[in-house]
Amino acid sequence: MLGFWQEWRHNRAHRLLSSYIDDEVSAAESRYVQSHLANCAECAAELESLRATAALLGGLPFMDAPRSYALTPSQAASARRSPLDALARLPIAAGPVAAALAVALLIGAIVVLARSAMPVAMPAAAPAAPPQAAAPAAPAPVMAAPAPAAPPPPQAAAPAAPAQAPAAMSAPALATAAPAAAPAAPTAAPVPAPPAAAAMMAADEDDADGDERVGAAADETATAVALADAPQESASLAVRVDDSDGETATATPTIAATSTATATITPTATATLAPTLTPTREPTFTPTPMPEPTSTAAPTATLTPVPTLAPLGMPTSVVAQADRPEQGSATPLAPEQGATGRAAASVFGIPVWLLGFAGAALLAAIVAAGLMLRRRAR
Amino acid sequence: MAAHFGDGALMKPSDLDLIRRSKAGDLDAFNGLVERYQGQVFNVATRILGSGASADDATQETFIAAYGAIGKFRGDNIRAWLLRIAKNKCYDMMRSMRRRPVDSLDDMPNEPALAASANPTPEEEAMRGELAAAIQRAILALPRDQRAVVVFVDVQGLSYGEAAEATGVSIGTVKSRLSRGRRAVRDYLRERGGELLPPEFRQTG
Repeated sequence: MLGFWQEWRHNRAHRLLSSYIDDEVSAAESRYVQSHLANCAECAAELESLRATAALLGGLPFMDAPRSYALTPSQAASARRSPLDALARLPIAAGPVAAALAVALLIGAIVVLARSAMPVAMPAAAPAAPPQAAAPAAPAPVMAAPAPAAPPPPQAAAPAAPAQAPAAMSAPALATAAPAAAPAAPTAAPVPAPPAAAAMMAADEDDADGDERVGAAADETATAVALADAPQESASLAVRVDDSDGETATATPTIAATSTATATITPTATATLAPTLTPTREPTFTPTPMPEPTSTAAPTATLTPVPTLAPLGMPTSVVAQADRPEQGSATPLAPEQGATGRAAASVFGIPVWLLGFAGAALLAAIVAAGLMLRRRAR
Repeated sequence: MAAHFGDGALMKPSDLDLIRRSKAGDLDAFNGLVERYQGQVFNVATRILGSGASADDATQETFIAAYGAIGKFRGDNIRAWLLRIAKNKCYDMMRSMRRRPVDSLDDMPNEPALAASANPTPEEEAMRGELAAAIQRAILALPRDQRAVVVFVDVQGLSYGEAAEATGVSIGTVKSRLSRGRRAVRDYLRERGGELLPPEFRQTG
């Protein structure tokens, strides 16, 4: 039997035989095969059989074209016709049907839109639960700990934001300073509660230079301070986003709790962050999982970036919830919870599905119109 | 459509010239390319599909698609480009053939038609009939990727580089597919070719 080495050499030559027939091997490979063939009857036979096979295949009669395939002008026209024009070949009834459907869709969309626009906006106007939270639109996890007696900001371990963080931050994350940035996202309406509600937020615009910072921010850092506050206590939640040179950004959640007595922060602090509509899809969010709070000061409030990115540079909602400081448990708000949750995937308060719906209806209308025009032209 | 490409006007324009004019929308120029390559496209389609009728459709669709896409053609090898389109059309055709419950591939209803449409030389004449049908069946028994490479290289005579271009894979992949395809054809013929085959095939090994 062949030894391992010989077997390896044999297999290598065997693999090369087919290409060797066509002289599609390197000079070294060719020499290798030749030397192997001299000693291996099996490979020699294999070579002959492969050569014969190739010859048989090459000897098949050439099937000449039975006719001319030159394009007629109409074939040529069909070749360059846009896919939309394929609709013109639909049955004649398709035009009116499509038009009627489009109109119905449009009307339906408008009606639904008009109705649904209200409830989405409503909860924002409710000043009952004022805890304002500001968060960067970056997936930088934020933890806030309104501890009952937690004096200094317990430095929660700052997880490094992903490298995309700066890009993600291009979307101005504004909660309290929202109005300008969030024209139609009234959920973020600034309702700072009197006691200690100074929420400052600075969001980096895209560039690492930090040219376009808003708000009072320390240099090199964008600081977002959110205050969750209930009548008697105030807890401030500070988010610091350290922005090193663009490539990486680290988010250092600093937690400040200046609450003295009570430990109840209004259950949900919500903030809808509306980026100024930059219709590019720059805010590429990599939804980082929430890091485990390593802070020993147990009570934490969590600010959860909702990872759903609405298609066209939509406002991304960040929902923050300060929950039961005594227990220190922080529960991220599920997107379904609350109006803000529902508004998560929305543009100017209009749910995305509705926009899609309206868009589809519009498209259908355009198609129907084009279709009818085309028919008339014939 | 013969009126569209009179001999005088298009004596021997180069491929590149015809391509350039085709891109500008000159249908006559494009049809010059069609005339030049329709034989090869049809041959490849016939061998890949094993059916003259399907190959006819695939060929026509290839040139219609090519005309629509000629504006996007970059490069200098129009043959490889056309054969690549043809290969894709054949794959589409194979898919639809599979969907239809037609015993199209295995029993070669069209081999007489294929032979009739050919211009056989004396050698090819000898190949007609059973042996040619057996070889065609062996090709059709191959997995489609091996089939395309075997047809391109061994039947149509493309270089490995051109076959790589026409199949959209690397030359290394062409080599391995061709190697496996040839062995599979050989084994198929050994099993079913019988006495039609040349003596090399009767060796066991």
